[in-house]
This record gives sequence, C-alpha cells and structure tokens, in this order.
Amino acid sequence: MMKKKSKLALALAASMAVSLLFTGCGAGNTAPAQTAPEEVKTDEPSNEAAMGEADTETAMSGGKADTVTVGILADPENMGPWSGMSQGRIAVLFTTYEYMITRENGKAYGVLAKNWEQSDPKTYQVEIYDYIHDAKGNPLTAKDIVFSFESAIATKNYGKLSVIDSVTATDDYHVEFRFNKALEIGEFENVMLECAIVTQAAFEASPDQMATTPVGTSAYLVESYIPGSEVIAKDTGNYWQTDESLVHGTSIHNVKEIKFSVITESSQHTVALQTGAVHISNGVPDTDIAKFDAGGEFSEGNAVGVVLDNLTYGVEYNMSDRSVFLDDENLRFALAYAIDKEGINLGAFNGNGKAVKDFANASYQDYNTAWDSEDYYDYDVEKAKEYLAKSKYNGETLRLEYINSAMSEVVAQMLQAYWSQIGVKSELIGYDQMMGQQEQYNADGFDVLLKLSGSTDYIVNQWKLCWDARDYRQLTGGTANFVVDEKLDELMQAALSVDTYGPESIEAFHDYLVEKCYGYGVVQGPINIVHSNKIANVALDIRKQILPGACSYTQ
Amino acid sequence: MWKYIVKRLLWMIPVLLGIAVVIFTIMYFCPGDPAAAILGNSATPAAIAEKRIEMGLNRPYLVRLLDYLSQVFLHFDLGTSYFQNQSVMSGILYRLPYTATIAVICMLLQILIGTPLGITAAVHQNGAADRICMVIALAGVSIPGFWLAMMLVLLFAVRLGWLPPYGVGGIQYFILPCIANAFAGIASQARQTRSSMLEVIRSDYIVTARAKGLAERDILYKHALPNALIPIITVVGNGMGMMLGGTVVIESVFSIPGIGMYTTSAINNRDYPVVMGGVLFLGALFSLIMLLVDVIYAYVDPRIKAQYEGQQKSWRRRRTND
Repeated sequence: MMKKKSKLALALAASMAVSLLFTGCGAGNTAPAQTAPEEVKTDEPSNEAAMGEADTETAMSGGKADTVTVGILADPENMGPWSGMSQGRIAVLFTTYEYMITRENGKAYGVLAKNWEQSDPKTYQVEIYDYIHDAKGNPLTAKDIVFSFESAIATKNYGKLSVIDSVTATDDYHVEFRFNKALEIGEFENVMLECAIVTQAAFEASPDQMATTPVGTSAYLVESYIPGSEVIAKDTGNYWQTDESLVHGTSIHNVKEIKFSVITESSQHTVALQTGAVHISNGVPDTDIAKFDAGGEFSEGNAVGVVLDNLTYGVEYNMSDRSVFLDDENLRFALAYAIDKEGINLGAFNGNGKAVKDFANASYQDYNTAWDSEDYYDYDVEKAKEYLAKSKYNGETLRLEYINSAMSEVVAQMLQAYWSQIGVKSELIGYDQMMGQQEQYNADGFDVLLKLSGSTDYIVNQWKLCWDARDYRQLTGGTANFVVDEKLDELMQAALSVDTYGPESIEAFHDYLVEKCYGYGVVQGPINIVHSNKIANVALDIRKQILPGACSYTQ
Repeated sequence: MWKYIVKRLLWMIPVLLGIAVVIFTIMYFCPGDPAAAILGNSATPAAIAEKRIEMGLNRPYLVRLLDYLSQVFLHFDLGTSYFQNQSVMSGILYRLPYTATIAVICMLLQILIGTPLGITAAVHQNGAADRICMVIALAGVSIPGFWLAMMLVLLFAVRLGWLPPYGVGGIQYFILPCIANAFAGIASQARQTRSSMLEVIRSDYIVTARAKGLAERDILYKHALPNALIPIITVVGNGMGMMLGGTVVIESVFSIPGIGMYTTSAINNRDYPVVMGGVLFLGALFSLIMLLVDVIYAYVDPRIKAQYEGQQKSWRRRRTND
C-alpha cells in the first residue's frame, strides 16, 4: 500500500513540476501586458518620427543591409501581376512590381512614367523612361505598357480600370490612354497605380503566368517561393533607374535580400520577433505590443512603431424605406451625440488612434483643418437624450452590423455601450469579411453599419466609397447605405468632378453631410509595427504595408 | 478478397458523388462572394456583378452543379483556384506531403506510445501504472491541441531554443506540431487498447493459457493482443482519417502549408473550387483508409477473412441458382 502511495506521490510531484514549468512560461509572457497602455503611448513620439510612408531622403540615409525577414499573416498565393487581391499578395506587391506612378504623402510621382499630360477631357499622353528594363534584363517599351494594361483589363479583377477605352503605343516610349468618360479627381492616378507593369517577353516566358515566378521592373527578383511558407526576393544589383534622385519610396532597395515569412497565427509573430526569426511584422496581437515597447520584457533589441491607419471607422445608418432612420433625423442625431469618440480611441486603441471630425480622417491632403475646431457631433449625453426624446424611437433593438476583427468588435461593443447610456438598445451582428461585404447591401439585415473604409489619395474618394450613388444605385437605389437624396448626389459629383473640385465643393459636401447625419466618422485606428533595432526607419506604402526595401537599416 | 476490394472501390463512387453534391450545395448557399473577394473592398457592385458573370457565378444552381460533377467525375478535374489560378489538384498534391508527414508521424506516435500505454494500464489494472497511464490519457483527451501547441512553442522554441517555432524545413520543424497533434490520438489509443485488452485478458482461453503455465509475456503478446486488435485498428484507421483532415489547427499554429491551411484559407476567401476539391480529396482518402482498415481486419482475424470470402461464395451461388 505504502509503495503504491509513494508511486502516486512521485507521479503527482512530476506532474506538478511540469505544470510549474508551463505556468512559468505563460506567466513570463502575460504579466507585462498589464502595463501596455502607458508604455505604448510613452514611446509614441519617437516612433512616429521613425515611421511613415516611404520617404526617399530618410530611407536612403541608412546603410544597406544584407537581409531582412518580414512576418506576413497570409500567403501571397498568386504573385502574378494581375491576379485578384488578397492580404498576403498586398504585402509583397511593391517589392516585386513597379507601377506607372507612385504616391508619397498624397503626391504623385512618376516611376516608369517620366511625365504625363491631359490632351483632352478623355485622353492622356504618357511618356515613359527610355532605359527601363525588368529584373531579367528585358527592355520595357510602350508596347509592354499596352500589353500590361490590356491583360489587366481582360482579367476584370480591377474595377478602376473599367474607365479605360483604349491604350495605344504612339511610339516606343509614348502611350495614349483614352477613357470612356471624363475622369474625376484622382482617377487618372488611381488607374496608373492599379496595374502592375511587366514586359511581355518575361510574362510569356513564365511557365505559370508569373504566379510563382514574378518578374517586374523593381530592384528585386523572387528567387524562391514555397507556397504557404516563404518568399525570398533578392536585389538583382541591376536596377534600371540609375538616377537616385528619381528613385521613389516603392523602388528604394536598401537591403540585399528580403524574406517574407508566412506566419498565419498572430501569436507566432510575437514568438518569431522574440526569437529573432523575424525582423519586422505588423501582425503582432495588440495584447503583445507592450512586451516589445520600452520597459517590456522583449524590448531589448526591439522597438514598436505606431502610425495612424489611413482607414476610418465610420457609422452608416440604414436609410432604406423600411428603416427606422429614414424619417427620423432626431434618432440619427441622438445616436451620433451619444458617442464619445475620444473614449473609443482610448478604450479600443490605447489612445494611439484619433477621433475624427468628418466622415473621413485628417490624413488626406484636401482635408480642411478648420473642421478640427468644429462641433462634429461632439459627445454630449444630454443633447443626445434631448434628440432621443424628440425622436420616434420606441424601445426597439437596433441591429449594429460590423465585419469581425478584434478591433471592430471592441469599437462595436463601445458603440453599443454608449447608446445604451441614453436608453437605446442594440444588438451586435458580426460577419466575416466575405459575408459582411454582401450583407452591407441587405436593407433588411441591419439598422446601423460600422464600417472601416479609406482611400489612399483624396478625401473625396473616401466619401465616394459610400456616398456616390452612381456606383450603388442599381443595387441600393441610392448611396451604399440606401440614401436617396438628390442634393447629396449633386454635391458629391461636384466634389468629384475635376472642374468643380476644390475647397468650396469639399466644404459644401462636408457641411451637408453633417447637417443630414446619414453617417459619420468615429475614429481612425493605429497600426502597430514591431521591428528589431536593426531597422532604423520603417517605410510603409500608401496602403500602410511594410516596404522592406525602403526601410533604412543600421550598419 | 480482391473481389471484395473491387466492390468496395466501386462503392466509393456514390460516396464521392454524395460528398460532391453536399459540399457543392453548402458552398453554393454559403453567403459571401468570391468575385467581391477578388476585387477587394473598394469594388463597386457593378464591377462585382461583371466579375460574377465572367466567373460563371450567375448561372443557376443545377447548371453549375451538373457542370461541376461532369468536370470532376468525367474529366477528373477538380477545377482551378480563383485566387491562385492554379489547378486545385496540383495545389493539393503540392501540400499533401506536409499534411501526410504530420499524419503519418502522429499515427506512428499514436501506435508506438498509445498501445504500450494501454497494455500497461490493462495489465496493471487499478494499480499505480494504470492510474498514471489513464491520467496521461485523460490529459490527452482534455487538453486542446492549440493550447498544447503554444505551450510547447513557449517551452522548446522560446525558453530552450531547441526547436523552430513555426515554418517548414527539416524534420525538426515537424517535432512540435506532431507532438501537439498526436497527444489526443495517443490518449484515445491508450484508452481503447486498455479497454480491449481488459476484455480479452478476462477470457477463458487466457485463464487456460495461464493455467498451462505459459509465460505472461507470451500470453499477452501472442494470445491477448492479437484478439484485442480489431477495435485498436479501428481507432488507428479513424485516427488517420481525422489527422489527415484535422491538421487545420496545427498547420495554422505552426504555419505549415498543408492541405488544412490550403482549405481554411480558401474558405475565408470563398475560393469554392479549392474548398470543394480539398473536401472531395480528403473524402476519397478517408474512404481508402477505411478500406485498408477492413483489409487489415481480414489479415488480423481469419474469421473476418472467411466472412468476406463467404459473402463472395454465397453471391456466386445465388447467381448460379438464378
């Protein structure tokens, strides 16, 4: 009996020792997270200075590193120049391909295009450099530009290219773009930014339409691709643009080898940075960010960069004829005034985001800074209650729809809490990305939509994503959220038209939208990027993706 | 025996047809639009509608279903991925070695560790060894695979630095995923072996063998174990199928580009051909494994072999009488 008991005791002791070992591991990782909010915020200014959209001067100032490993959350799947968009593909796109132009801090610069001009409302002439060649040495001429655009259009993967009527090579280095309508503000630039350019020779030589063997004109050539695991791109040392003053953010090549490591589980991004397997990642879970920040347990050798996202969390009311909001302006205002945008910024983003004062955020070049001091449904519970009392609301539960992501869910929960504060009941309906994209046009599916949207150029183009009825009329009868309002349409078109675009038309649209309260911006979230100290300056593209080639590196 | 195998193989056709119809129907009615996924968030409804037409997604259910069935069963083509523009079959075959490696190693671990654990527990029923084995088995069935995986990563990759935390490469990359994935299987195997062995070692012929003075080792391995094997083989077969199809979590945690990750990513993107092809492929593989299990039954237990052959003979007799 004693013998049996001692065996049992020994087994228990062994299992306890194993448990302690595991508990020790867990505790080591979780404790510092409690101090997360302050630490992230304290470090913010220095990191802000070290991050931003690719900037030629700062990025070129560092040394050229041998290799950098970037953690990405999804496999690129297909690296062909004109395949469908995906999260993994976006991450490697600018390393592999170049476009006619690029955009830095809202301004367009030529990459392959030397210059361009509008010859009539529907026609543009573009001149390309006469010494371009791809990463395999094939010369690139106007015919290749035509081939690239025609191939991209044929895939029907790029809605923005549907405005193109024809692309013609007028000589070896001049291309004429004819459009089927007079282009609106930013539209030409967006067309030029939409199509990756390759040489016809390289494309035809590829056995798989460049799905695994992409050859662009960038400084990097993909050397190996293990689907679902990694992509390795190497600097060919033979980049076509030899004039460094003309090399812009997306084309900078400060590192000899870039390895994109596919890590689908976000907590493994933490481990990868911790063990040095990865040098930079934007996939670290928010709860782990503080561990890499000053004072955090993995801060040695690492840093956290915080930058504002170009996307805005906004609220859109369902304005269909079956919606409670259609004839109830007071209810719309009541909900708007009940939201503490700063509170959401603090609660959801540790204060690293920014409360917004328009349907879009302040990062656009045409944003009117005077709006910052205006009353934009500023948090006022009493006012909200007054509007609610005047409204036709009679206690029904409103359905708040959002697309599932950790942050969207927190923002949605906070909206729900703020609305319950004034006595409005709401239920949350979270969908995955695909379902959400479909359900946002289902007039019977929701009452309020929390949407994350943004553009990379002008504020009017973010507005367009919801308020341009021409894009949605067939499906919704009005704007994306079913608004049928002729004046809104007129103002939107005036703000988008090249002839009338300007401060006045922008102001008029902003004011009208604030007055009608069909929807409003709430908060602009941050993007957290954790990187090793090997990287002195993090560069991002217009979509806020890491540009490893344009980062600057310590010697 | 061969006729039995051929008959079973023929039975796989309606099974696979059923799987194809069910998975196609589920994907057809599943909300979400692959055209919208390809075009991205800023696509207008008009652009999405045009893309849907180009992809043939606007056609009626029956037309698409019949097209799919004829493509798969008449042309043996699982289709082309919407996103990768690559044949689904080649995508699966590229990823199969990763999944198969994990599944086979896990299976070996399950057999090599689970079976001895179960035998030990049965032989020492109610003793300390039995309790320890059953505590391990209980832990195995209770601990979620993803949690164990993360604990193993923290210990062996982060703390000790002995093994890589994720990715693919040499065999060292498979150690942690296989341990995490096999633990539950080892536990089930141990529990099943224990229960089968307990049933057998109480049998009269084992008592007789003991009375004859045979060595305990011979009694266990020559008389008891072969007779306890049938349920154990069933668990192994089911386990193999489960491991082939169920490596999704482990592949995601360890970023292993196997079939599980391929299919999960396709579900998120609504890449219908990949999802349907993946499910159909795993269905066929599972059917083959079950057939293999039945064949092994016949070799392990002559009574079952006789039964299979008896069925053939009675069938032949009926044909002759007719």
